[in-house]
Amino acid sequence: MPQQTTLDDFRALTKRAGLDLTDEELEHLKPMYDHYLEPIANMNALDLEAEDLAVVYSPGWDPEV
Amino acid sequence: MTTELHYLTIGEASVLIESGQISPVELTRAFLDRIDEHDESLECYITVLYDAAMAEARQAEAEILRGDYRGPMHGIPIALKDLYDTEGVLTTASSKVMADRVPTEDATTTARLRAAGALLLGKLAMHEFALGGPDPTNGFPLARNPWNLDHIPGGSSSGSGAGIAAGLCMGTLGSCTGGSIRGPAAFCSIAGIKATYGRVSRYGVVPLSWTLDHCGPMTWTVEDSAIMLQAIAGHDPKDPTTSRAPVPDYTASLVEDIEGLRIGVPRHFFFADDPTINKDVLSAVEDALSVMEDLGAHVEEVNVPMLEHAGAAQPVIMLSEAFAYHQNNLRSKPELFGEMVRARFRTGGLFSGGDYVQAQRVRNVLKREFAEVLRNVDVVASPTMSNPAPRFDAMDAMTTSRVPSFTGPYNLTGMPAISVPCGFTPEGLPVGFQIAGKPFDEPTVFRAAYAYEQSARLFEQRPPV
Repeated sequence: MPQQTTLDDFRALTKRAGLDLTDEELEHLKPMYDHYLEPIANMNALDLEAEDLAVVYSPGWDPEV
Repeated sequence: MTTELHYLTIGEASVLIESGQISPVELTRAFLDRIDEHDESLECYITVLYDAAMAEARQAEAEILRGDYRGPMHGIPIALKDLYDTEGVLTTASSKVMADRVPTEDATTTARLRAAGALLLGKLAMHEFALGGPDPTNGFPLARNPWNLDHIPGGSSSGSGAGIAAGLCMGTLGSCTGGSIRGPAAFCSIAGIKATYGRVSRYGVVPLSWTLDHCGPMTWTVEDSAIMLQAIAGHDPKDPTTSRAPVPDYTASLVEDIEGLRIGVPRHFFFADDPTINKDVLSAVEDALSVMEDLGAHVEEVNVPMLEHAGAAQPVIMLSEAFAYHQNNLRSKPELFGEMVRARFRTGGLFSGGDYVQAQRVRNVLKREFAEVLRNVDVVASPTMSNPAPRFDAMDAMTTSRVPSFTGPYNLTGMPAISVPCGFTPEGLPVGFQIAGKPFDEPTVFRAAYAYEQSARLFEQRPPV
């Protein structure tokens, strides 16, 4: 389980994103952010070794290649 | 004529138009009357182009009478999700942010449909910026599901799904970043295909997430989707992601013979023992797979391990890219966004760069795993949605995020994927059957979907509107 974010930490996170939110807005938004924490932590825990980010989707992708 | 004009398919109407048995003018009038009769309760349209549509219909009629018939879209009344740019016509993306936006140019897809002779009835309701959900705070029409008005028609192409099912237009284009074509297609018992990434231009379509956005038709039948895709597919110099690969004849693939077709089913993901997946949906899709076997297909289980993380990667990419597009407006005029989309877009600003990069790397692995699977099978099949259409009063900004997305994986991989109707839950809500294929192999996807559709014949059932 990822570490839960405190409301103060969450406020700092939103400020870093350039969002100036009221306390009410912060409390409304935090559960949505928290919803993603565990699946993202699991995703980030994957060891993808040298999987190359530069291989962006190519329209010519061919499963035979 | 036994079929009411508004319930003709594009395939049927085009034959009657070409042979002069019906005119685009009477067909367009029938749809405008139908809109007048039912759109107050269904709320499919943001803009109805009464005069322009009739003028276009008269022009099409004159062209056809003098022998200038352009093909199966000529004289066909369509409508577009309200994020496709239409020259001189309000295009809002269902948001107050764009409430007065009138494009000066058509989207490439809009232009291609016009060139094929299609007539524009109007612009269709959608979830705000293709994401927000049916949000009463954003002030735009909330399309309702014609099979049960208490339920949503799906989204984000909500007006498109409801409008096709209720006979308020003959064809439409949806847009799809995580399932916004196939989802409403499944919830409204219609056909909808997200073509391969790069097959259809995105130029002039308000973006949600550049690397995940796809365009595609939503229609009553598979044949109609093939006809519409034919009109819009192909390279566009204005969209650098479009492919120069030749566009095949999609209607030529509409044969009922699927003898020997190999169908892979990743049961570990789509049929998982998960209490958030609806069992009636799974049962309907099991029946569809049995039909495919009866038709001569070979169904086998396949393994795509990275599907387990698609549900994290897709929203991280989608919301991060959406935040990048909307961030200035989110800071300077947040009050113009509806509550649902504002919250979701804001969340996209909170993921880290590392989250986004890891999500893209997961995406690469997922693509490679599907490529391996597609060496041994022709298509991959599953339910389109993990649940039937929810009720309006059960919706909040996170409703769709609490259940597994069965459509999002194919936005990550860019594979073509279609939804066709495959039955109803005991409550009478439609269920969709999803078939995905190799990149640019829309013909095989169409063939499999058409064979099933012609066997199941669910297109014979219309909603109680």
